[in-house]
Amino acid sequence: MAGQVFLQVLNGFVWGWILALISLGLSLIFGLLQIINIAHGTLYMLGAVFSWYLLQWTGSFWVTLIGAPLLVGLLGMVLERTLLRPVEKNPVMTIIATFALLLIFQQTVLLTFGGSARRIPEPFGFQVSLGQFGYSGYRLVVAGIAVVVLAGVWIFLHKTRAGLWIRAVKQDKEMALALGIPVSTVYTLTFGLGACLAALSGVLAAPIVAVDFRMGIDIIISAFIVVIIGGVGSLKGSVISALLVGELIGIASIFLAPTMAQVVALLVMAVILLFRPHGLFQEV
Amino acid sequence: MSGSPPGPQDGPHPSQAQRDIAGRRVFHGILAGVFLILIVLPPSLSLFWQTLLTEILVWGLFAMAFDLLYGYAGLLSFGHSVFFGLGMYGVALSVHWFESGLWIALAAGWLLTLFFAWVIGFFAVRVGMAGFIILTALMSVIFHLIANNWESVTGGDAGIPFNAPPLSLGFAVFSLERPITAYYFALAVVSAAFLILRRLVGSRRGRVFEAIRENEDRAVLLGYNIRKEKLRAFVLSGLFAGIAGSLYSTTVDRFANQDYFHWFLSGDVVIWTLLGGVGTLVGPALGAGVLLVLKDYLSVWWPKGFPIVVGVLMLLLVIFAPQGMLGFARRKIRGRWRF
Repeated sequence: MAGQVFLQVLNGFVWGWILALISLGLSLIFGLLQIINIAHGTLYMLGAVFSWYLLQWTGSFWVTLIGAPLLVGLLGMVLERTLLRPVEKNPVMTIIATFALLLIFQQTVLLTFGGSARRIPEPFGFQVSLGQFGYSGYRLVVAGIAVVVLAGVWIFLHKTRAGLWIRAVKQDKEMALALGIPVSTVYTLTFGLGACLAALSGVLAAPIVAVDFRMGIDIIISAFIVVIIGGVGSLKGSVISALLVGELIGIASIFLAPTMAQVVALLVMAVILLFRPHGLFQEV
Repeated sequence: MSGSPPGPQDGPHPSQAQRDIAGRRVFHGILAGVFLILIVLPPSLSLFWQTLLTEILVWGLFAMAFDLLYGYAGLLSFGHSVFFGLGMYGVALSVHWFESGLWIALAAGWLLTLFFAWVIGFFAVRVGMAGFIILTALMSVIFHLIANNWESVTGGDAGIPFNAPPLSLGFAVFSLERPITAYYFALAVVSAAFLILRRLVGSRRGRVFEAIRENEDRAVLLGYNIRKEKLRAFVLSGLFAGIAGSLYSTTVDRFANQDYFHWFLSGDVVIWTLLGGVGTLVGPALGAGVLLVLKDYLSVWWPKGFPIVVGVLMLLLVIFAPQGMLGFARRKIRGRWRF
């Protein structure tokens, strides 16, 4: 039992970092563009699907790790520029538009990739021995990559010119425009970055779960829970609440079916919302 | 602009007022004509069309219930399937476990919906707009999970198939398993619900809902209790969605299953409403009808492609015609008539 609990805590920890990646993208997009991106889980799914195809084609996991997120990020930028731009002023319309994208992409993947789940083998098989049992080394590497990428995003947002622009536009769009910041480009860039992060978490998650055209649906729910608990637009909030939700789901699934574990996370969210309607770390 | 037509005194020129009255007459004439057709035509139609029409009526009611909340009170629920499903499960559970008669079963569905609409609404109206949308969407997920996993009561994955109890009207007993009887029963309930909803959105209360949609702060300044009014809209809308669900399970598909909780259904009703025209009440029902007929034809030659077509249609709508079919028509003929 103790071993199983430990294993689940570790799984929750790894899953938490994957959640942090996808939620940060969701939170960035909502915080800046006011788009409630229902299709964010679909971008995660596309990341995994692209990685499957790239893996067939090149055979190298590391190529897919870079390639798939770039492709999806590019797709995100195009989508933002063409389809989402006209509806950005109206959050309700963004929901409907991104829901439409979800339908289109998910069904297209079903038609091309097929309806059955496909496995991607873990790119390296080494086991880390922890006391009396081994743990997949790949999962620990995933957590490591996520930490590095999140640190990179933090540096990008706080130490580069483009990051400064993003933060400025988020604070005051009109003022940013008046100061000559290319707000339109910043929008496109931010959506691309968010899409890229979603796809990256998809690529990382693909060997752990299986690649399936429905895989975006479950995670989008968790991601929204994370964003709501963490507070919109807060990097720190996203990471902390992602780890929290990851552990919550991990530990709850010792006793409950995995889907019911998500309900527990939902209930926790509902309680938090009642006391802190803007989440735990909202930067107001 | 939306909802019930303004009184004649609202028009700046007499001619405009006269046009409004004429427009209303035309609109009422069309409604009466459609209603007449719906009464007279179906016995001569094939069984397929009888069932499809029943289905359209019930989904139409669901869409109108949704429009009350979104089109009038401005609250976008992405979990309205919860109430449809609850109405359905209420009927199924009471027939399956207690072998209750039709009216008791329907009442059970409505009470179950009312209860949960109130509980969910209590939380949902407190968390802001984005929170409202996300919370309602998550409710869809929760109820889907409960229906799927609580096997001892809901039958889990297998759902609850049951036989519709006969419709007893005092002088005679009808079987709802016959498509034409089911159709007329659905027509009667949906028409009654439509009249009540139309009355409601034209009433003072309907105006209060619209005031909240248009400007929440101003509505607060006018002394309205926003949360209370929003909750009222939410519960009423949920109730009518539940009525639609209970009706569906007695007239169309006597098989309660977890798919009716799925948030894709909540998405569908958003599309119907958008296609037909937000805040027009008739429009969403029309939108439901158009898409259902389209679906029946499309699924013949490209079954898996239907969601893609719907998705593309939605994108085109939000970008080019966010006011929907009826809103579009209304704007086009605004100069001549007003609905």
